[in-house]
Amino acid sequence: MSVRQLWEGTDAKPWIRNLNGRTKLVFLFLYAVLMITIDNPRTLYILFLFTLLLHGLAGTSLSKWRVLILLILLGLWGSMLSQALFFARTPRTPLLVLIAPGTPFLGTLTGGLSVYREGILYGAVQGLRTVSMLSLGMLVCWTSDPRQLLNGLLAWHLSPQIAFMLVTAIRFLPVLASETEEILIALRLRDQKAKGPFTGIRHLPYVAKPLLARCLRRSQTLALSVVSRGSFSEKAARRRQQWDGRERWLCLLFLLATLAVVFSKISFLLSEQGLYAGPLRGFYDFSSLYL
Amino acid sequence: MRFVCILFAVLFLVRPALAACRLNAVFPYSMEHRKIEQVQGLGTVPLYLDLVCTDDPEEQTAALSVTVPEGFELLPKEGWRIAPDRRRGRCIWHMAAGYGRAFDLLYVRALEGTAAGNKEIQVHLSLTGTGPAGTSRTVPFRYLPDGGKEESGETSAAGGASSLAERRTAAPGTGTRKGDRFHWYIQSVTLPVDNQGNRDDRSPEGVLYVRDTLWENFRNRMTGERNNGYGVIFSHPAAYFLLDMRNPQQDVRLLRVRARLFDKDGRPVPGLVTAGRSDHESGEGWAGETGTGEGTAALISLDGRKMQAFILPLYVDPLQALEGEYRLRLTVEGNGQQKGMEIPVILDKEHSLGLLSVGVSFACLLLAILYLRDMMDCIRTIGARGAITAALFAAVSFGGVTVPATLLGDVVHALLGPFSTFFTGLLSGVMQYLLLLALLMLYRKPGVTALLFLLKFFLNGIFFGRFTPLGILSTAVYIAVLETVLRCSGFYRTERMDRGHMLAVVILLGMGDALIGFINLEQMMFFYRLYYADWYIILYMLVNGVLYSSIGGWLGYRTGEKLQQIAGE
Repeated sequence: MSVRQLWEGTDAKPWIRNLNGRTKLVFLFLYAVLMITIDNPRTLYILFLFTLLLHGLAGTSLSKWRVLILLILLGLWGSMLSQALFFARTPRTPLLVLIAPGTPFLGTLTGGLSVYREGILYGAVQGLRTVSMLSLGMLVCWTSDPRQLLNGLLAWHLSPQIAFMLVTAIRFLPVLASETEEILIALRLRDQKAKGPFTGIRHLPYVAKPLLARCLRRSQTLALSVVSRGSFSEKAARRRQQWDGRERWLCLLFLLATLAVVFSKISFLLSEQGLYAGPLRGFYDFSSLYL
Repeated sequence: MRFVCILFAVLFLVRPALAACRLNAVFPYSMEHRKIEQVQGLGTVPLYLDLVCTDDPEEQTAALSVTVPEGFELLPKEGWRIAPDRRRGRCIWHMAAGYGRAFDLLYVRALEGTAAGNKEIQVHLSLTGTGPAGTSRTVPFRYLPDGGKEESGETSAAGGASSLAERRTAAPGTGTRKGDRFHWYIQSVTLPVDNQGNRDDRSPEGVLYVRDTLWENFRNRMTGERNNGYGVIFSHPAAYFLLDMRNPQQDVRLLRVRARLFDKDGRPVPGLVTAGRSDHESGEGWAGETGTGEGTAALISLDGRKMQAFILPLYVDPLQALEGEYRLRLTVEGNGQQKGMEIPVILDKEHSLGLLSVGVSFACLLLAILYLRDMMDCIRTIGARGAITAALFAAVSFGGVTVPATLLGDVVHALLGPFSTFFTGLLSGVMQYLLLLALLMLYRKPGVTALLFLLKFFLNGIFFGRFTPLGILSTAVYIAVLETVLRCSGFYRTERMDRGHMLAVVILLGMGDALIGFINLEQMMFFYRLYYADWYIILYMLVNGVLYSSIGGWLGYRTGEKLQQIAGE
């Protein structure tokens, strides 16, 4: 599967493909708010499973599932590794001492570096936040055409000039990729000593200058064309996609639910600091049990 | 001259005759120097002994013996030899030549059944040396047996507290000793209270807040100090606790209080420290053995009242203390007795830097919104050609920085863990700033930076679905900090940039990126509840921020110069 195929959102089921860009953006944003509000491992896990369920309902292909699982596992492992090293709560049990606290310089500087057993578990739980967002981001990415999201942004009064620039950037991404490849081939051909699979990496620092020079020349040509057509003006037409009423209600409901969760959590945290109000006891219980 | 010599000779000869030792004995002695006339009940009361020897040319040995009246006993004390009948005690003090002073407290207790009346303690001092041979003192006092009798039930109610109470059988004398008696015990411990001992109901019980000391920790580690500035730690205790003591026998004595932290498995853990001795040279008021012991220690003085409360500070070492749930074990000990109590405590670190970072991010968001107005003006100024150039640069930035960092970043992260950022930083630091400075060299206008980062944010959101609150705040921080740095450095004002000025600008941008890295890392720790060591954050700022970004900025400047030639063709 090529990188281009990986980012195409054509094989998703129609129900999710046809959702308005605004619905997807609202859902994504509110889900991110939930992810940073909730601390309960069980709820985080359920929310993570929910993103996987959405993938299942959206008909994500097997090859994309593989990519998704790989990214999730790598993300979780990275989080577990970093928190295993930096876990700063008790109890903590060192499994492996990488730098002993008494080691000259490094030991003094770091105060010792160990892999902690409890940190691995903590990292796995906290990593659920990032992998949930990764999973949902992939879902939006695989089920949406970039124009769909762009239209959503335009409907929310994104400046037409910015929109034009975004479209230009999106349109020219594949062109820039192929140009980079051309430059790398040219550099490799000029290099007499070029041998082995990693020779391309050596040439990477020399790619920027010719690539940017081409960008500059292309922008001159494009600018002439754009100005002559009058595309780059304030009065450029805004195409607005109709936002379905049901989707709108769904977003509103989700917004209200998220606000309730955030309110519940904040009021619970305040109650711990002494700002307690009797009528909010239900919220406190809810936060304590599920958030 | 002869007269002076004679005078010195006479003084030398009569000097031993001038030597004097002054023995002072007070019973019953009050720690608060209150004048107490009588001893009541079965309480332990100190006998204060103070010996001052002056003008003796040689070191002297003082043998001190104390004899208490019948019906009283001396309690064992280190440095003292107590006779089997416990009525006589003896100790040796070595007095320095010229001026020597020694003092001690010896505890005396009445036995049960001792009759009321006037009593006397005999103190005898014998000295070896050139000075006086010795002296005696008689310390009279009045004894009343009433006090403390009613408290016998209360003392036995000190259950739960561990005890090393004296287990002695009756001894010869007019009265009898009562074994297994608690003379004092801990009634309760309240944590936290203020320095007046008042409990604030708004503050959670048993929670100790530890200061956020990222900067101090790093500075001290670099200078090789073990800890934070002790002046700060000991001027601001983490909390005070109220130790409510019961003293049914109305003992008057000094006790040692020790507070230590234990984990759930019962192992002692570091975190609490003790104030050591102070000196004038350190300037901060704390030096020497400060902070070497595990736990906070203090001395308290029972003054003979049945109920007494003590407000004691708890000093927490922010470098050693880790967040978590512990048991705080309080031990009160003195003269062979030891009482203890454990209470659950939670050590909570103040994430003030995380909160501050989030606050700064929101301020940056407001500033970025202001800069976005400049950005719209900038789009009009640079025209279609400039806008398309910015869009293509943003595309290169997205394709060359964000995409590889997202796809390969996870793999590298899995292999290198947190240290992967030093690898991916080559892209996000060097490449990112190369593109930014190259674009700025072509269009040196306020708003260009904001434009580039905004386009990158939208591309990231559209392709990777990263329209998240953290993403918005992070982009806002980039825009606000970099635009501010460029404006303040005079980058936009100067007509022609020389290399020296440009070098200063790229170093400032590097420092700005270090600040951005710090804010973004702190708010990520805050929102995602992650832990990163302070040294890692600083290393991240220095390498990813200052080093990579400055290099990238300089390369961008050189690339921009070449691109200016192409643009002019």
